[in-house]
Amino acid sequence: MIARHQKIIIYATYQKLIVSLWHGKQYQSQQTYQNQQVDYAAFRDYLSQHKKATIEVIVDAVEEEYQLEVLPHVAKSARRAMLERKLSQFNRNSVYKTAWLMRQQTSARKEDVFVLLSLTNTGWLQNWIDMLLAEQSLLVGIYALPVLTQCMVQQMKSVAPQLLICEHLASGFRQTYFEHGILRISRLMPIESMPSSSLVDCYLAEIEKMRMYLLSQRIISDATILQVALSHLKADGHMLLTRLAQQGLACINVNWQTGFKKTHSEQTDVCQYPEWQYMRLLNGISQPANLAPVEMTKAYDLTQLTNRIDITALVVLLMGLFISASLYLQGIQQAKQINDLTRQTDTLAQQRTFVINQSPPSPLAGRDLKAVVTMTQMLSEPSPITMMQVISKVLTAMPEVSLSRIRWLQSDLEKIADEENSDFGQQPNREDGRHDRLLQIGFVTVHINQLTDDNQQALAYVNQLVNQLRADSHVSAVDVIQLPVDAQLQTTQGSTSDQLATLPSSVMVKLKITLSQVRKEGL
Amino acid sequence: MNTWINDKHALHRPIIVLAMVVMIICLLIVLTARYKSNQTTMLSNAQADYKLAQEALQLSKQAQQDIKQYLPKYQHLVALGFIGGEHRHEWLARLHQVSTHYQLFTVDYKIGQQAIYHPRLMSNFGQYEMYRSAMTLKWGLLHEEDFIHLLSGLRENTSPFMVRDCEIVTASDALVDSQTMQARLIANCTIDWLTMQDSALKGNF
Repeated sequence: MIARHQKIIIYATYQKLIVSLWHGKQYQSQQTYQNQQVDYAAFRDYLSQHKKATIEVIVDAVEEEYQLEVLPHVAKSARRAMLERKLSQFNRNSVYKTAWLMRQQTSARKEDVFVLLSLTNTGWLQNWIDMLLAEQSLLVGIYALPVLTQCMVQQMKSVAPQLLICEHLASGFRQTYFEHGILRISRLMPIESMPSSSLVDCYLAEIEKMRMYLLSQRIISDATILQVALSHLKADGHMLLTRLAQQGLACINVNWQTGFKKTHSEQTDVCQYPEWQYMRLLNGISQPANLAPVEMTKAYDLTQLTNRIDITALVVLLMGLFISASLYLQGIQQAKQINDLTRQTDTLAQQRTFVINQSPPSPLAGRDLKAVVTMTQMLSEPSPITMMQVISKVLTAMPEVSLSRIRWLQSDLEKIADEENSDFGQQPNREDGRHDRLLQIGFVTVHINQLTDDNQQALAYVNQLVNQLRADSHVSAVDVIQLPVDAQLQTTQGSTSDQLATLPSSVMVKLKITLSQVRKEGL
Repeated sequence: MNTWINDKHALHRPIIVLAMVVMIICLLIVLTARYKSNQTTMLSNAQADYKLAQEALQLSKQAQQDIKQYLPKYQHLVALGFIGGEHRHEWLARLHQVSTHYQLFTVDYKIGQQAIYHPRLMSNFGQYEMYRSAMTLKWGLLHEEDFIHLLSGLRENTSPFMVRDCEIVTASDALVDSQTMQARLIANCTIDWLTMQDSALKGNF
């Protein structure tokens, strides 16, 4: 698992391979292999020792081809097909070619700007790549050096509209031209070793050639102010800058190491080389435009797929274990609750047994005892005595009124007549006016005595009697069923031969008294 | 081609491992889910048992309280003959006793046939059934208090009864003679003589 984090970054030139080993972001070591038969075996040995390390290759070749393409913005599948078609038109014979999306135009047409890039002569590279494939190395990708230079430029805060970067690398003098931050062309000129003073002339000559080429290709015009960025040049920088200024070119000295933080392992001379800077850059960025065809990176893709499946299995395992553990813990918690409840239930059962044992012996259950006794009390309560007490209290205060008859009954019919019997229904029935409670009803017949004239006085007595009865708290209603008859409203018959007719000395009044219900329950 | 075959073989191991992991995890989840489901069911049962035990304890406490409160009254009812079979001779003897005690005029009575009675709104008496015997009492009153004396005396000395209908009328030819007292009022009452019987305890009273 640790070996998979190992990364080999190869800087390939026509003359040699510079191979650096990285452990994550940490630089480990560097090897150099010349493009000769002796070093091939050593390189294969090196590869066999680092079977599980992923490999990325930076190609610094002379034979490169660039083309800027502005293509319509389309969906992924259509874009892929379009780019394949464009690449085959761009360079049919090259194995190593790619299209790199530089930017998306924000105009209404929404076009994508691509740089098409290919290596035109790769015979020297193929030897090394064949060794990688033979060792089944995990080749991640092959990248052209100008692509990495593009990445460096993208990291710069401000970029001149027309920028020419000049570097003296192991392979030679490389000039890379950027227009508005987009790679347009790169040119490598192998340089033999020569004195520093001659190098200045050589650089100036190559820069002038490059400028003329850009003019001939109409990439720039005579009026274009070309800014030249110099990096890792082996000549006298001050003299070069002066000469360039005399030619009317604006110059800056670029140090790519600015912004990089060195680790302890990187405090070596080798780390000062520009190749190493590019290798370090590649280790820190996501995959740039890959020149390698899919067949070459298949081993790495397969490893990636295997890793993803393994990670999926691990995630499934962990999630499953988490879910299972969660369910199990919930079950354990419930088991604890069950134990607590069982213990509490047993305690309640013991308390119940204690309560039962403490209860006095009884022939019946407490509920039945209560039902029997309550029923008996309910039956015993209603009696005519209350009605008699109410009437007696009123009549005592009215000596003119004498009682002739009382009928007391219980009924669930409020409008029961005196002639009806008191038998009540078994079930209350709202439709026939039956109450769900029994009413105590009294029919009272009284005589009013000592009348002097017509029955106006009798009516006054009746009103007094009714009012006094209604004032009693036990009484809910008093109805007069029969009033004394007014003589003036009746037909009077007779003759003078008869004795003088006399008015009756007493009149009969019949009342219906309904007592208030004091109980909620009924029978 | 060989490389492709090797590639496919290279995927066998992780795929088999993934499949085994999925199967094992599924099995583990099913087992733990079943365990939890069983525990949930058992917990529900335990909660129900606990609730039942609580209710049972509450009922027992209520029953204990009811017994303490109502047992003496029940025993009094048993002594009065309310619980158990109808003992008409005893009842009539007590009617005579009350009549004699309060020096009442003659009480005419008529007792009907006993029948099951289902009072409204309170038809459930547990293991008991209620019976009633319709009874008519007619007696003369010298004073209204004689009426109260008879009903109160019967209430205190006999099993409970329900007064259904009573009529008190003035005797039309009533005279009060200082030598021979005659009734001034006539009372006529219909009452239900009530008893309760338990088939399980029938004959024990």
